[in-house]
Amino acid sequence: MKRSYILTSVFSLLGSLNAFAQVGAPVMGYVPEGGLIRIMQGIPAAGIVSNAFDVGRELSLLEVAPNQSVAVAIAAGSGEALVVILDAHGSTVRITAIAGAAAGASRIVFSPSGTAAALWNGATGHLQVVTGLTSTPSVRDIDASFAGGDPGSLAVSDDGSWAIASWGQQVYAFGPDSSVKVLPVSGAVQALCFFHSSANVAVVMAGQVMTISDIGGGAVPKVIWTDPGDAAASANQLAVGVGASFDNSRLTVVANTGLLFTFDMATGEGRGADCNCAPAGLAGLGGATFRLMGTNAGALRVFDAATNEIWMVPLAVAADGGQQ
Amino acid sequence: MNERVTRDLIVMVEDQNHKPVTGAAVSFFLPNEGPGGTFTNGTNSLTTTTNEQGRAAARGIQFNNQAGPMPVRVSASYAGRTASIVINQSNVLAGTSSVGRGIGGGAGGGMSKTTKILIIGAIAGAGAAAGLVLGGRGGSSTPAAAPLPTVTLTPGVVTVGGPQ
Repeated sequence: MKRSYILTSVFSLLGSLNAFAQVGAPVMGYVPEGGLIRIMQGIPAAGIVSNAFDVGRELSLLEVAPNQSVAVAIAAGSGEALVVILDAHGSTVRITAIAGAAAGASRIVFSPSGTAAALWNGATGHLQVVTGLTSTPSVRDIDASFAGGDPGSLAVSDDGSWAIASWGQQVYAFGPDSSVKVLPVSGAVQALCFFHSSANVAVVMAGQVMTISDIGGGAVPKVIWTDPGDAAASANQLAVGVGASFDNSRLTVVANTGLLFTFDMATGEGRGADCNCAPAGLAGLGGATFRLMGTNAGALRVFDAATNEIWMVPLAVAADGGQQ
Repeated sequence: MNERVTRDLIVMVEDQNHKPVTGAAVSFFLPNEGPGGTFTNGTNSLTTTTNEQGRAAARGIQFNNQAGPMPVRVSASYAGRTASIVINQSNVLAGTSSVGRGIGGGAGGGMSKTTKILIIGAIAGAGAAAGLVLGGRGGSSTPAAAPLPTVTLTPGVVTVGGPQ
């Protein structure tokens, strides 16, 4: 495991947060926290999570797009689906309802680049794909109630043409013409994702990682990694997220035990890392960096798949000494 | 009367060895315009999965009041392979007095004076075995031994190797 802390830089930032904001420090990204949005400022090696800003609505669910330009949220109470346009400095936002989106979505997933989103409604078993997020949102409704229950994993392509979801060992691909395909997988799916700007997907199962090319056409499966060891040894390890770098050159898988494994898609080589944390998923931050979801206690973790480094990004300290 | 009537569409999915395929996704598509109708989800497409006998059914179709040919496209997918057929059927209007309730009545509004009956037509399948759709509900004279339309899926090849 390789961990890097630039504590000097971090503490320096902690002490000068106000001034930092005033001079327009770079925004690394946004962090959803309940119904609030926090701003990550700086760079992965020297970043800080500042205080939350007010979007003007009470939200029950919120996810930020990997391109950090937009968020999709569910309004508390009404369940209305909302699109939140993020300002580069987090000082202002524009929040509008998504016309045609059903109320009460229970899950929000963004496409790899953040140009499309999928809203899962567990009460109805319907999936809604939203495109045109930053201009005029368009909604496509998919009836997936035949699959029964909530999907384990869910992903949508950047152009919104395809959505994929897993129920146990079944992975369904929902196409633009209302077609439904069953993708060729051979085990219980733990995580899946699209590659950027393509209809190629990655699927993680216990002891196996595979890609499926062109799910709208030939849907050609290819196993890129198989666990050579004793499967029982990793019985308690579960992949909780998988994501591709923005140039599709790397694919990172993260497990609930904190282990990360990144494949170089050109050479086939893989590298491991350990965040010493218990992540709940991967959220793209642009380039080859990911935020490890569910690690917000005290400091969140950012993983750079290009360098295989894990960075601690501490939360800002409030004036009373507590975390904001 | 001695008409076969049905409001259900049933297909059977087989592999290349004519074994039933369980868990295949089967999508039914009624025409976008003209004689057609809607499924129970309120749209003209419905997806379901095959059971252990390889059968998938679209039940409870609400037919519209336009009579005439009604091609139903059926697509089946399993393990990355997809096959489809077109089932050519007809949407026929008939009086309630001759058909009786429970076949197509209850649609409400302007439908109260007519009953929709689906007369089984020929199958025009792309590589599919010829057969007939069985009338599931309300069909009092459906031959039990009539074969189902069959969608045949051919397995693909899984490659193992380094990342692309």
